[in-house]
Amino acid sequence: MTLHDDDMMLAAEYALGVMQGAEREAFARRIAAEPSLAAMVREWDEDFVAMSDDIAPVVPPRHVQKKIEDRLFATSPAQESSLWNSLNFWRGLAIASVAGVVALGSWGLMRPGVPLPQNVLVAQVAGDASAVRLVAHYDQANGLLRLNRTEGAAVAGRSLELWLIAGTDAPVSLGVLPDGNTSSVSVPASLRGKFKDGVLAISDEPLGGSTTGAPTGAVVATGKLIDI
Amino acid sequence: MTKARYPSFMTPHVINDLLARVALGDRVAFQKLYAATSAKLFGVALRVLKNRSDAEDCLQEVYVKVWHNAAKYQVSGYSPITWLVTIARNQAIDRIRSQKAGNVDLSEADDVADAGATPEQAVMQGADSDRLRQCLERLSPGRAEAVKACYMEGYSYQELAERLEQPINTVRTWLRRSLISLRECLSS
Repeated sequence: MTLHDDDMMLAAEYALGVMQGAEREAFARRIAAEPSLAAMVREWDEDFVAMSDDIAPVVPPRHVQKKIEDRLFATSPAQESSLWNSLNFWRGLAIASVAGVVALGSWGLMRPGVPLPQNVLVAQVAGDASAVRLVAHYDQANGLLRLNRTEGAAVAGRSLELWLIAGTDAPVSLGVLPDGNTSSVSVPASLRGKFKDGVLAISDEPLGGSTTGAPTGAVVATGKLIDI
Repeated sequence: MTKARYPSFMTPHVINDLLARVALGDRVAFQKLYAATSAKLFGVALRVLKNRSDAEDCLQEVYVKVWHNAAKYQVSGYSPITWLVTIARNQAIDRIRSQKAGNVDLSEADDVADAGATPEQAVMQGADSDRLRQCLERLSPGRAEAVKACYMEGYSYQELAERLEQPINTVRTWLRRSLISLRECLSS
């Protein structure tokens, strides 16, 4: 067996799960360090996953999700301290304590464990005729727009440019999309009020972006900003 | 045999977008992803761990990993469903390997596969199951069953050897041959 074959076999044994003990741990470290080995494991994982079709889904108890959210999103000690000192918090607590008997009984069923952040808009930006697809997450509290491209890229020698279209206003450029998947834009204060109910659009532009201040090429993807 | 693997409301594209939003720290997307996938991943963990409490702890670890690693998913080359199922299986296998072997409580194992999935949780079907099924059918029946048992129950070579009452090296030799045959068939 060649080394490549041997690794392919070890990848199969790892993916199937039969490898054990120190061998499994050592192999996991190799996967993290060797992309070619990770690709072999992935190939087996993609093939083996079909066997999971025969595993019946089982709805987990609701408290599991609460525990996950508590672990990931529970307030840090600093935030707890500010909550502790917040007048609204104490007012809220006074009201809550009136309903305490009811609340106590249903506490274990409440979801999510930690309140969701407010003022977040999201958009799924996609087009019928293009492979470009991205998701956008806009935090109205700090004006930070974060982008994650899931598919597609600019054509060689061209750039993809992101635009905000608010109501009947002309599109305003939010910049050229970088090559990487994720990026973020700190939105100028003058535009921050325009995101709610706005539309994000991506156009195909000359390298470096439109020089006219308006889209010059085809609009390849659009998506409405939605309040979550 | 063809199954309807992806209901129109929850395609791999949708899970892909949810993971992309999770990578941006979008907690609503994380909740939607959990609603759509947790029953499947809990089923996978239960199947390996055979204990509800362990499987619940495992599921927590799985979604904490999903939250932290969603950005890595995008560059991993995995299909979204395989990525999620693989995290759950590996977490469950690592967990059971770290426990003492041979402590399976059959009374708990019995209630593993009862609860059904709601429509929105019926999403997690792997791709290409017909192709794998055909290739498994080409192995002799006992060997195909052994491969499936290892995948579904998370058996190690040691456990498989004990169940089959054969020496571990013998089991390893023929399982490896089966895997070589499988790879040849899957690649053809």
